[in-house]
Amino acid sequence: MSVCRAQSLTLSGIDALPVEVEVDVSAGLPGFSIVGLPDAAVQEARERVKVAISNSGYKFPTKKVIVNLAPAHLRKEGPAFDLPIALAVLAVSGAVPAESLKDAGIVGELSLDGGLRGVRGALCMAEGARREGLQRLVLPVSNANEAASIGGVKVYGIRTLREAVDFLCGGNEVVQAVAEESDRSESVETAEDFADVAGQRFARRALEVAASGGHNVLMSGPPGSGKTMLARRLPGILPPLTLDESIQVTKVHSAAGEGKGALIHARPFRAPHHTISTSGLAGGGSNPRPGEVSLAHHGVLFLDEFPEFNRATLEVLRQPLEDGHVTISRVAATLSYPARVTLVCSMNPCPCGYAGDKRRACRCSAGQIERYQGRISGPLLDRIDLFVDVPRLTRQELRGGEAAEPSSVIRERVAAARETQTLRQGVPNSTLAGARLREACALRGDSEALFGAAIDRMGLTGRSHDRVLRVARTIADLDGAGEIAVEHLAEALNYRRSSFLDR
Amino acid sequence: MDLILRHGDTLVFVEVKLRRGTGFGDPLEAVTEHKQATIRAIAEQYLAEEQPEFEQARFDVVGILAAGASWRIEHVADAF
Repeated sequence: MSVCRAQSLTLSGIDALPVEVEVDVSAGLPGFSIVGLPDAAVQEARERVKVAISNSGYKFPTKKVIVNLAPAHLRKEGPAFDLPIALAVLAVSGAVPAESLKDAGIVGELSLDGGLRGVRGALCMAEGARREGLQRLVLPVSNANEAASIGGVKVYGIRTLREAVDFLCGGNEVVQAVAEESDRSESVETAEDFADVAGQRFARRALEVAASGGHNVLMSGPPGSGKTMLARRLPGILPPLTLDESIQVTKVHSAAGEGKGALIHARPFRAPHHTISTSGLAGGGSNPRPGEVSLAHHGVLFLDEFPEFNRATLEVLRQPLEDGHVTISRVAATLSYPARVTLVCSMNPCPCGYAGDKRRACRCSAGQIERYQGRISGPLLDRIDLFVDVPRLTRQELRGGEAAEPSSVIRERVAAARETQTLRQGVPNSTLAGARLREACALRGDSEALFGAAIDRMGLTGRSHDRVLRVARTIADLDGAGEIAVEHLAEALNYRRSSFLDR
Repeated sequence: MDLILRHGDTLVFVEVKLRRGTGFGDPLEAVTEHKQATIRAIAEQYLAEEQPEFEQARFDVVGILAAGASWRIEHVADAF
């Protein structure tokens, strides 16, 4: 038989699509060509495969070798096809039984000596292999643990091309990789603890609410008041990821090539610098990769010095903040990455930083302040749930000996509130919408009257109306209350207002 | 270009490669794309100037591996 086939997978967003590698060897002048919309890295597989095969002690056929990657319309990128191409070539020459390639998904980059290098997106590929009904997944040993963590497909980590050939011939028994047992309830011990933060009771409370319900926060205050310090302590109080969320987070990181080799259990906390580009934040590139907003999926995206970010860059956050995913269109394909984040931003109220400060005069003109605050668009501000003023600390707060509450205590309350939400609706409050929102956030009597008055007085938009209700729901959950009471709603409304942002 | 032969109504251009060993690759592999282009160009000129009555042409490559006493001769018809 002159045509042999191997099954492989390629990443599209965070999902793996099946790719069939067909190899035909026919009489003619020796040659090696690859068709099926390959990119440069796939074309270079020719040299790697040829050299790796001969350096592993096999013979590369001195005939006309044509590799077809099907389906032909799908763009193929990356070096992960090296191993399936090499094995299909060896199957034609009889070194590997062709039937052994039928039920195995194969991915891996070859080095010139026949060794295997890791690929990106191993977890996504394992999930793809399971979906496609492949029994086994053969990949580089460095990816094995990550791929095995999803279950449902037998994962075999191998070191060299020779080991892969022996394994498919049934000669040696490669140990099946199993998911590492890890304790999901394992607490997130960070060096930074809320116990170190003096004062700022209002901001601490706001961050607790934000962590519980996944709400977006904008902190503003003069330099040195502790905005960044507060934000850095947020990972320590976030609720643990559910198993489902864990898998999704790990898939995104795996697709970005940032996989840690096992399931990720801690909520991500991403703090990109304000010089970040639009595609760095949203994802993209000619070989698309998830951006920071996707890497922060189910976690926190912290944007320090919010107005310093490029305005066009910030506007790309609008879609993910509303829909929970980013859609990227490129020549190669249109992809969608999940991006359900809790946005935490910090900013100074004006260019000099001291507008509204009690101790130091602001040097900015009204026009400067307006321009500075105008860098953040209304639509983006409309997506913020909690506006928090972080004022300068007083002498008593700076020197006061009163010990602040440690993160571990806050984390327990947050975890309990999130648990309540998961039991009630399966998702955090920040993603409630439509009928489920109306049901979970029903108001009665006094609270209905208060809300009615607030809508008129504060000029709430349809979107901010929903956002206030969600925050009120979270505050009630933190309180262990079944219904939203007046004080919960009042606190939620309080977070809509900012002493300086006149919106 | 080593041989020009007639096969029915087809003119056959043959490149013959001999190697004493495979240290630098198979003899057939020595006919690179660059060499193929050269052979093609020569053949075109030859057809136009000397044999305009032929409507079909073909390129063959013969690889000879002469390692010691054992010779291996491989003939690839219509190679490119």
